[in-house]
Amino acid sequence: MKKTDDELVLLERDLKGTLSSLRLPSAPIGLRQHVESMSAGGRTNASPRTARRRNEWASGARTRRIAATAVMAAIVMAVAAVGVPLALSPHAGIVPASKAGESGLVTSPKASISTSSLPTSTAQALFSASDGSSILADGPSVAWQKVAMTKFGQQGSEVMGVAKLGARVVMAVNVMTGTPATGEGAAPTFYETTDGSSWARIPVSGDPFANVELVTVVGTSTGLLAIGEGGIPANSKCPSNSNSPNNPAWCRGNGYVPWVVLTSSDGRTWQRLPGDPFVPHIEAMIEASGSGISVSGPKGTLVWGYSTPGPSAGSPAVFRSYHSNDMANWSSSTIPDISAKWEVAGSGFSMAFPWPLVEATADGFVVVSVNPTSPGAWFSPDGVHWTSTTSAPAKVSVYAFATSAAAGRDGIVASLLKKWYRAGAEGANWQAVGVGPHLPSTGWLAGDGDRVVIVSGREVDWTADGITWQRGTSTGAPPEDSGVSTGPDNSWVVGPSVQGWLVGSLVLALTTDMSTLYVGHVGG
Amino acid sequence: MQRRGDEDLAELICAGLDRAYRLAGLLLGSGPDAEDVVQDACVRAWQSAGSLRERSAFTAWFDRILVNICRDRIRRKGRIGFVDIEDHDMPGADPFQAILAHDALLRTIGSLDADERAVVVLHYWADLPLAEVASRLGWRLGTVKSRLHRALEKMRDEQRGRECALQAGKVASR
Repeated sequence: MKKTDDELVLLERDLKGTLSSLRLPSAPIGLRQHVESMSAGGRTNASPRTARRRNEWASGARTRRIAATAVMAAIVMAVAAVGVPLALSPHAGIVPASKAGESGLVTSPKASISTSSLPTSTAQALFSASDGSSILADGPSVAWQKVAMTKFGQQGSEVMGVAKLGARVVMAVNVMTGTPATGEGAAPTFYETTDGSSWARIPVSGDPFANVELVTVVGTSTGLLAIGEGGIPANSKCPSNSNSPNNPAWCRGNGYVPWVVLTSSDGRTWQRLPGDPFVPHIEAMIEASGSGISVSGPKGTLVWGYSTPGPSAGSPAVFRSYHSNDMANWSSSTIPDISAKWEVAGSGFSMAFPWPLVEATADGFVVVSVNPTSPGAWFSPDGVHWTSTTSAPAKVSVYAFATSAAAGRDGIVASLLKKWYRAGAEGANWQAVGVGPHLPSTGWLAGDGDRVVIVSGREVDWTADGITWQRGTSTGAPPEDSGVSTGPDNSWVVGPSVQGWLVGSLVLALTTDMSTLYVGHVGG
Repeated sequence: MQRRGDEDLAELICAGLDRAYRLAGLLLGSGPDAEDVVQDACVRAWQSAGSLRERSAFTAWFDRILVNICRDRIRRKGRIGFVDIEDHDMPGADPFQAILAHDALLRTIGSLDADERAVVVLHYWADLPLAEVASRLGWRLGTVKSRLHRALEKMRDEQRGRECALQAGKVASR
């Protein structure tokens, strides 16, 4: 008994000595900047419950997908620390948007067909700047209506993408089949509309989405491309020692989940592509609430992710993209300048690198790296061959608030910290928009490869190049971007709280809690 | 007035951020998780700032929020699963995992449940008297003492078990 007590005394002494002498790391700069940004942005109504479940592998694909989303949140936070790329001004830069997220980067699925380019305006400028940018007074107006999300499934159902398919707009939803509490089970379901008001479920032939949850849907030159997660047994659970090689790949903490790729010309009949064209080891797709993994434009469709040479934690992550014009034949490429600097920090979802912005423009594809160690932009006219477009990007210290981008016909517009930046369609020459101070700092962004729109309160500002803007008005009540996105499970991340899609004459907007769909009808 | 209060709170949170991150990292054994919970704690603090009556009480008030979130998280996740030491030699390894896994004594913290871990870290690392630990956890002093004692016993048993396993391994390798 005495020996036992002595042991405890010794243990206590050792413990105190060991703990008190530890040299523990300081708070990461991303965390600090996030906290500072909270104070800068004031209080929020966001739920305190975290979405960032990076190491929580419960059961069911949905949980894993949310976890992947959580990566985005982490990325957003990491990006918060980033000096961001592409800015010519030492005070400018770009950060990816959340879900971010997630984090993330808002690379909304875009319709590949432009239907209503902005007309050449002769209106008087409301504002003009020395860089030649201006805001004119004759922009299209938007009338808003709300559509209850209960039309698209029970609480917890998630919109995974919106795409234009001919005259129709198709919305892809993972309809919750479990309960909001368990969060397990989701059935890929498609809805269509021609006017934004009346939505109908698209009957799907057969069961091509069996055991699959959607990650994203994008409109392509041949119809629709859907990417899902699949191949994981229902209700599978991962052991606590997630890194054991004896565990299934998806349990090993690298985020690997098998991909399933399907195409359709009409939204009704879907074909699974044989095998997985994006293997090996594309993993941890970033989806939901604003982060896409695919874009489509006049130069084809690009799907991207990152791969690791093996499933072990700590392996380098390699940016890899896949391009196709016909959705049947895919060409893979990497951007080593980005990939070489990326690392997986620790195990599980502890991935410490920022996700890039990827946009399809009229001229090709633009990738913007927000990695603090390898900032820059790359352009590819064909989705395969990449060249750096910014040789000496400036770095700035930024917060995570407001990061999103959208492509117009003649340029890309991005938001960072309530400021607006633009670049050409080749992703070069990023600069702050001269009339940016007159654009709404709290607006959210959507684009269709032809036009970009910023929506905020009663104002809608349209542009094709980020230089000439046309201001219209909103009637009804569009959603406001709070800067903190709240997920359907009350999770939250810093980043845009509204995801927007511009599809033809409709602007769709969804708050990230997936509670209400806002449909904006673009008028004259 | 509100703005002033917000600024004060932000200043306090920022000033204590390193400590909060380290505390959470020790409790959770994971840097990323520590970031998560600190962010959560900041949001909760932001939302419930009205309950902070005096600036001087901030650290105790924020500790309580943070530790409660950590305990919730530990309960949800189960025990900390420390990965093999070899993993920590890889670039970019989690700093807390690396620190905890490289010390035999600290590895035994992984055998503690959420409450026991909170007591041990607050008492021995944060150097708080047991009465102060009790205050921050909202427990009676006796509860803190008993949990601390149980924690030490567990850690001792864990040490013994590892030593036995080590000895057995040496014998087997001869």
